[in-house]
Amino acid sequence: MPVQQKAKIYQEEWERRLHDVQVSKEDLNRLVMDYLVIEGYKTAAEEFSKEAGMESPVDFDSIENRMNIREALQRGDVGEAITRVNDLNPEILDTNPSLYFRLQQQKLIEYIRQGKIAEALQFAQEELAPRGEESPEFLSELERTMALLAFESSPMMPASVSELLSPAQRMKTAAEVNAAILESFSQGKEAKLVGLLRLLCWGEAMLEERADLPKLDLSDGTFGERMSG
Amino acid sequence: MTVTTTQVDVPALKAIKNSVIGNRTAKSALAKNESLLARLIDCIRDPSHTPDGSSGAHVRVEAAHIIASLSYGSPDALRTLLRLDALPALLYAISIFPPSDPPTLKAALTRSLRALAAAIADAVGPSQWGLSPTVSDIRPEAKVALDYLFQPEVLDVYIPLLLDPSPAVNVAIAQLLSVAVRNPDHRGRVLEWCPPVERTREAKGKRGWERRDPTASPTRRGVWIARTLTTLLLRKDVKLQEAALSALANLVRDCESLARRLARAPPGTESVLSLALELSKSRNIDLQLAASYCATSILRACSQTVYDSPVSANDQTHAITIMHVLNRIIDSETASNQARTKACFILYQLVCDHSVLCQLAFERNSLAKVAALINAITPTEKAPESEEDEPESVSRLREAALTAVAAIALFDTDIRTAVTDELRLIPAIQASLANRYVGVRYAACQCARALSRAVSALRTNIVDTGLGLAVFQLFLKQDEDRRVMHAASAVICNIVTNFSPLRTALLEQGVIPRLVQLLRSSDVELKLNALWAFKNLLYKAMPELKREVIGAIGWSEISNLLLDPDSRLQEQVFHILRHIADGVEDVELLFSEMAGGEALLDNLADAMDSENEDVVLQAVFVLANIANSPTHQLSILSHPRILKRLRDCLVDAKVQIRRPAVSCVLELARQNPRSYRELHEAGIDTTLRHMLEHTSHVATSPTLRFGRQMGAEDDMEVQDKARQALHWLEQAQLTREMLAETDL
Repeated sequence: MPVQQKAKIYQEEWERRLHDVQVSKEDLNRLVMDYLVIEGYKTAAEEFSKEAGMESPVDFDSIENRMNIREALQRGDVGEAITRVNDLNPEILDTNPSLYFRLQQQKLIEYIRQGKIAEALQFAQEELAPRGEESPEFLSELERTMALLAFESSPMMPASVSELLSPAQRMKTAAEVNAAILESFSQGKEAKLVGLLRLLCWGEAMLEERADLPKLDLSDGTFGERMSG
Repeated sequence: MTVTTTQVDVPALKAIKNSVIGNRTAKSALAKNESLLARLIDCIRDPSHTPDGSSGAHVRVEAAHIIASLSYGSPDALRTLLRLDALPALLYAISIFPPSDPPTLKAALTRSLRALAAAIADAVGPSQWGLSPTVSDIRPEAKVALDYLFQPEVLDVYIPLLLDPSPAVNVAIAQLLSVAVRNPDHRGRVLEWCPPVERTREAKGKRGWERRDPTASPTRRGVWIARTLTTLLLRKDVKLQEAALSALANLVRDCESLARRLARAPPGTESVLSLALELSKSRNIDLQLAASYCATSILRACSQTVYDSPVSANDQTHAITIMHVLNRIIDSETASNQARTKACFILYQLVCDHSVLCQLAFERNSLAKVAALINAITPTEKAPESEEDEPESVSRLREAALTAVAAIALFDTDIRTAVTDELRLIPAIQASLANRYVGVRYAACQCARALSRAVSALRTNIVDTGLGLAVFQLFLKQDEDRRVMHAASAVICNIVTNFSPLRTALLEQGVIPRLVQLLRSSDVELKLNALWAFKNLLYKAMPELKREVIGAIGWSEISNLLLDPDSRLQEQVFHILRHIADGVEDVELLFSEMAGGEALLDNLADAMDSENEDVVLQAVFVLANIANSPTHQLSILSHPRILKRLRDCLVDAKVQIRRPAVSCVLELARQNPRSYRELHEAGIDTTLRHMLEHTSHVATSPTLRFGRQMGAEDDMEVQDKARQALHWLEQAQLTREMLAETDL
């Protein structure tokens, strides 16, 4: 469809129409609470629950457990994380081999990050190699991790290997563990807010086929006139 | 991990627990430390072996966690646990559990019981979902343990826990019932269980000498357990609902009375079936699957019918609801492989062996979605490294999906055409024949078998794509899994028929020697398929081929098989003889090879006397074929026992048997005027007369069956031939009388 034939929606009108949609404060509060609970922000959830005068759908202790696990992983203490996961639910790691492997892999990464090369090699040999034998699909991940040792601090290290050392890798592991725990307690895995954002982007894309519209800038929450296409 | 003198205290046990969870090598290592394990099991069984109070309870909790973890995925550990009597220890601990102990301990013990029971049940089999890759080598010990788990006194220990105040305990026991019950015997015991209070009540209601007979009131089967599980279902606890649904699904299988009760709504409430259908639409995928599984089991158990019987509109609606749920899961990009695997297997169970439901699944797009899934996950170019790296979950998913396809495509030609043409599944099926996972190969063979049942597919897709030959290569393998061989040989049965373009190629590439090999194996199912294949091969075959086959099998082998205790084998062998002797010259072949034929006729007489109607039918056909040959009619006529059996078949047998029987009599009467005396002595002419009495009004009479019971014949074809035969016999009788007179 040629650009000229698309309807144009101006920012003022758009904002007015958005404003007209009824969303109750209660719903907004529940969305925020849901986010805080799932992402594991216990103190924030507690405070928010007091201020908004609403009950949390789950008890705060379980949030605390998940938060502790996330924090342990984010500071690189995988052993502590495994212990706490097993305290919370001893079946998760037994029934989820790829998650267990992910944690073992993180442990290896932490050894390498700390320069404990001898421990790293021993750990890889005793713990990770058997995992690779049992389930060959882990082999490529294992190889990628071992490549860290091969390259040491060489500038030739490819990005796919060096990203294993980034904080993002820790957060990725932490997110996987968090999701597995939530699933084992039959709670939702994803914050509803995230799902809504996805729906928003999809809706904008659909509408954009027929109209020029002010799209939401997701980094700062403002509207801007953006060139389409 | 070598632990010599460990303190059995909480920190030490936690360390052990954290080292073994998820780690198979650590579990195997711990399994070798029998003294430590024995101590753990001991402190579970006997609370006095741990310090009093909460620290003792914590020790036992950690010990229970370790035992549970060892049950997951470690055959070595399971062997040790069985040997050290971990199962009785757990049961005993649960049975003496005092109310003063913390509920966390009870939850840990029951969870551990469930984990151990599941591992034991897996070792015994049969597998609940698809094929199990190997036979466990601890199967005998596991079987003993599993039987023990379902002893009445043992059921008394754990089944009441379904009513325990702790939801975690309820979940564990319901899960146990859903995974550990694997055979009808155990299922029956669980269904018949009721609390001791109710038992004594029932016993009191009977007179002293009447023994309580559980089979006497089949409608009471499963009442208590169904009621209890339904109560759990009504609570808003998702895990509990999931466990209760799965337990009901497993228990209702093959129990029609229970299924009907679950499908019926008691006044004022919903039926379990409609509850399940409602829950199948929940947001939680595991709950959806459990609910679909439950609804499927109830539906299928309600009507144990023939494959093409009609399905009520109500049931069709229910089936469609389930299919929608399953379709969404199969189609979903976010669902795990495990979830989609289960969805495919449930679909298989929903439509298996039922043509109306297969048609529904086809119309509701289930087939299309499963096919899309298969094509998405199956690389058709051979890349050996990728096969090595493939996660087991993907292989299992493929197995499940192919199994569903094979079931849906089993009956209808249009569906088969869709599989080959629109959905283009043949490359994936063919590639799967060589997959390293046995379940995938088996499922692929089943797909090929379903496709090979269509004549049109034989000519085009099975031949042109090479699928037929690919199955044949699998069939020729010497060390292939027995179950795969069953499936592959079933395909071969279909593709050696005389209208199969592959027949010549198969003959050239050694199908006969391979079939003979299977025939000589000890596996009855393989023998049966081999005989079936030979039977199809010999249908309207050229004499050279017949001689080749007989030469390969050997007449002594055939003679042995004629006397085989398994009537299915007997039936096939007689059918083979029938195909061999389908022409007058070939009857000669039969007699000359079988040492004069006396033994053959004895065998035929025995077979015609068999309790199995299928055997009788084939034997009569053989006899009818022999009777076509004038030279051999004398053999029949000089065998009074055969004639007597033949007479019996004229009246006592079903119409499919009476037709060839009367044809045989007709041939004997017509071609051999001297046959009169023998036939008369066997009472055949009297019988024929009797059959033809009242025929004029029997044909139009509403009391047809009554007429038949009086000995009159109601089938037109049989009547006609009987009339002709009688005519010949009466002619012969007249001639004899005339000759006798002139002699005088």
